[in-house]
Amino acid sequence: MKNCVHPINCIIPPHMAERILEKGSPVQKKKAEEYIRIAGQIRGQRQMLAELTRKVRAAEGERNRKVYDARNGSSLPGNLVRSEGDAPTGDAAVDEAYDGSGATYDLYSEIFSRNSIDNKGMDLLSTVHFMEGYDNAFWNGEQMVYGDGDEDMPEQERIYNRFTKAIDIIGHELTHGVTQHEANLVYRNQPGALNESFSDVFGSLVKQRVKNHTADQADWLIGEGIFTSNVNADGIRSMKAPGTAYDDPLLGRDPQPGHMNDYNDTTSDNGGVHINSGIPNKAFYNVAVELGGYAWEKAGRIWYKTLCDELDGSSDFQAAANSTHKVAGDLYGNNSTEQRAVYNGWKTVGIIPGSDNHGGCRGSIRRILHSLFDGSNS
Amino acid sequence: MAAILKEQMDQEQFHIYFERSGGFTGISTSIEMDSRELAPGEAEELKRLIVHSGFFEAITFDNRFVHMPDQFYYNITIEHMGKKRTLELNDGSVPDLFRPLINYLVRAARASKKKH
Ligand SMILES: [Zn+2]
Repeated sequence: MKNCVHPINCIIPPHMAERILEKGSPVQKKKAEEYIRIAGQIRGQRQMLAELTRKVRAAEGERNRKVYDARNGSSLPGNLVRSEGDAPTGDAAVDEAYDGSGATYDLYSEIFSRNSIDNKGMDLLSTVHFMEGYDNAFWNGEQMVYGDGDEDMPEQERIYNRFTKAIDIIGHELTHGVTQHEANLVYRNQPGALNESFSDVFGSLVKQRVKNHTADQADWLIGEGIFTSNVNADGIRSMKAPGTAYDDPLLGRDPQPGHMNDYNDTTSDNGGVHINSGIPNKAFYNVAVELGGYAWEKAGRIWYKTLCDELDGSSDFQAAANSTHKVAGDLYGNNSTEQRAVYNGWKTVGIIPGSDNHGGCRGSIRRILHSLFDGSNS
Repeated sequence: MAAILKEQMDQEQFHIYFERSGGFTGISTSIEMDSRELAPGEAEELKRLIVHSGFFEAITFDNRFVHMPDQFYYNITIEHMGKKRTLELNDGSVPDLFRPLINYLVRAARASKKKH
């Protein structure tokens, strides 16, 4: 489009300009963007213009957050209440979802050079005020969804606050999206517990980075602030000391194991994905603390590369141990301080990297049983 | 199973077992309720919600999103007039008509925990 002064006379069709936007050099991109802008204005195609602007932003790695309000109903995404660049709304859940997804995007972008959830600039969509008395948050494959806790109960009986209150929960949900686009760990048994653990790991890193905490300063709690003062609970999970996050007559006791000897062979919760995640969580904590400094710099980098390049849908704890050990060697050298920390971190929870013992004899029997009977009750 | 009308529900007692599992917290909650042990107003309300949900008419649910991370799983069994039906649902498959019944059962489960 050399010296093309009048867009109507330009011969570049829009789809070609779009392609230049995606694949061209920075100078070409800028020219194509200008061409499309002018062409769009002349044709009056505002919608096309907005969509292309969004594509340009996504390609350049710009955040595009959208927060919706379900107004206590169940339809998703609900009503759009805050878009990228909008001022705070004054609704705590809306603003927390906006800020938390921004902080998560920033961790992935600035530390791991990742362009959003899909690494292609995907919009970050959140819905708050989902249902009534919905004490939960989830990832539905396309977006994050948050409930307000048990706000439908009398105040003195409430156990939960709104689920956006803990920034690591936001990082956790968004990471389910990242995992879906990378290793895509099956949400069942050990791969499912690993899926959960990666979400806890990066959720915690989002919080640690926002608070500027080193590994030894961090609390390593998941869901701190989610429980009301009516119950005896620090949070939902502790990566530092799995099994100690809560102990209360209403909630029961935190059931997470921190060692393979205590692996829970339940069928509930997809094979205990929120329970056995305590084991890889603790392994990550061990590695981060042994290495010291900011956990996202080395331990986080090893875990991120493992999630993206090494694991697949059926990877189990042993595969995660082996792969993080290999990645630490690739990144920092064999027998480096970093690789030794990874080895020690997993060994302490009962998994020896490279041993291929899949959690010892008990683990092998369990795996055979699972392979025989899985699927039959899914 | 044939449709059960409100009049029939009114005449007969019923028994419910409800469990909600999964979720971000992984903390499950459950309750068992029998119409004979409920206050008259409570039994009426529960009957109304069961009829509203179409529990005995609903045939199948789309549970494809069974592995949607952190969603809740619901298991509801109702015994009524010598018949028993169990439905397994999740947040991806719950029809809107079931939400009031599930909300009621979740609240009842919370209140019963409080008493113990
Ligand atoms: Zn999760």
